[in-house]
Amino acid sequence: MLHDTQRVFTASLLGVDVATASEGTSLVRDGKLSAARRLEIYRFNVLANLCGALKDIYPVVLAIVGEAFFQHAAEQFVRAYPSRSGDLNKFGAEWPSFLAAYPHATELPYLRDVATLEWAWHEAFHSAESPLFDLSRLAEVAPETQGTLQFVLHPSARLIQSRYPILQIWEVNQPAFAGDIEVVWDVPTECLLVHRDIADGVSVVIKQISDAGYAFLHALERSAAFEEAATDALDVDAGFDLQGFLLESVQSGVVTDFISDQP
Amino acid sequence: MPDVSFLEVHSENFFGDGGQPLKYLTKFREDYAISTHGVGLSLGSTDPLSLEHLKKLKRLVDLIEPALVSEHLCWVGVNGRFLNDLLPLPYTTESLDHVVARVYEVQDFLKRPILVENVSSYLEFVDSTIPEWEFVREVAHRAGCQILLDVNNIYVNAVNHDFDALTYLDSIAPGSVGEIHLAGFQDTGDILIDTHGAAVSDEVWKLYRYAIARFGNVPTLIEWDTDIPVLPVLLDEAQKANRILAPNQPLDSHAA
Repeated sequence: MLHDTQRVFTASLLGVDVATASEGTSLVRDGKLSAARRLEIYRFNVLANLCGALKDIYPVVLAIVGEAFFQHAAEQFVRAYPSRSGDLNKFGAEWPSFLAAYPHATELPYLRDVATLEWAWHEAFHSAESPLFDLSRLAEVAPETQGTLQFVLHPSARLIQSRYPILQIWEVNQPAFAGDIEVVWDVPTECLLVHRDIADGVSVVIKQISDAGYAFLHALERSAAFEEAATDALDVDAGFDLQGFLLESVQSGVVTDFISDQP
Repeated sequence: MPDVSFLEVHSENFFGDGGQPLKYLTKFREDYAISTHGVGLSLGSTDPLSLEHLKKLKRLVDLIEPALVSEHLCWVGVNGRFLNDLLPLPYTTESLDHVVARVYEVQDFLKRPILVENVSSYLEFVDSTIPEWEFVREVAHRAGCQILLDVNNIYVNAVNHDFDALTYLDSIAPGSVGEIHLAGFQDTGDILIDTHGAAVSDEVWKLYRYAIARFGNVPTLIEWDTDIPVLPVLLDEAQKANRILAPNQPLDSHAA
């Protein structure tokens, strides 16, 4: 009986058709306020909470489309992709793909990629800690086996590719941004790396990297060996400074460790 | 550092694997006792308790070693679908048995007692057969947990559902209350909404005095998490609670 009450109540709060929406009223006592009005209060609170959580995670999308557009889209999203966790930080992963298919957003084709960047930022912000790279261990590796090493990315590292200048869009929509808000649209494919800053351990950095750098880190992301990752990067750009990029990735805490199959 | 004896956080805000939230909380833990207050465990849901949620809560509890660990007497979703709101239960023997079993399960998992909080509500289920105050009392009695008594929620519900708040307080066993919450509400004219976005009302302060006389010097928290004021306003509310707590006893109160 408790289960039925909860099932009908849930359906009536987020139900899309009027029949399920009104079914809930039979569960609830009237009084100074009607049962329908009482359910309406919960419906409002639930939508406000869930849409509020989305707004917290996606402030740049919110800044771009405005409050009314966001709220309208978010209310449909909440019904199409219900929250699956008691932890609201887990809610909203499908927002980028929802926006890509959202009919009212077709004139904003970059919106999905901006949302993808914000979700990456959100994940990086909450991701695990990692010890710093121990360079002395690397010195012990025999040179002939270096190609088989698997370099490990920091748990916060996220790679994003976009046809749109999403980093610039992100920057000009930051609350503290003061400057020319003219966005240069005609750009080659943008490769971005998102990760937590090792300097303070808490802030999240977004930086633009080269296509070859992207190919290299992308290979590491799928646990490829160094040799394979290097080939991927050099295929993109034969002049890629592999050593320099790897060193910089280690120094900035993006590459944190390596796995060797040698004893 | 503000002179308060403990800080309370929503547990789920620290369920991430690392980064700023845990770093800051660990830092605050050096100077303050911490209370972790959950909003997402869904104690009253007929879904199985989420093992993932319990594991993350235990990880946080093991890391922070909070003075108090609490959850709500409510459900937040069913059939894997979460509404992420503190939804009231129908107060029936079925709900009571269910919630008692779940509190046991949580306490066994965490290997420590928890507190359960009475929630505010804007509706009553036609199925309910037990007054809310008896339900709350019986959960604590049967599950061997303590009550986090939200005095504002009692007032809000008393107005919304037309009962006497003192009957509620008189029904709760002295010794069973481990923490008190105070907060502000919004009066829409025909219903009170528990917004946590205003100062504690005079009526709620009156009930608080009554509660302290009945339950003793219970650690008290001011909840103010929407429309957040400047810190001195919040600290002033905590000071008001302090002045009501019995003098010459070790002070356990405050909040942020």
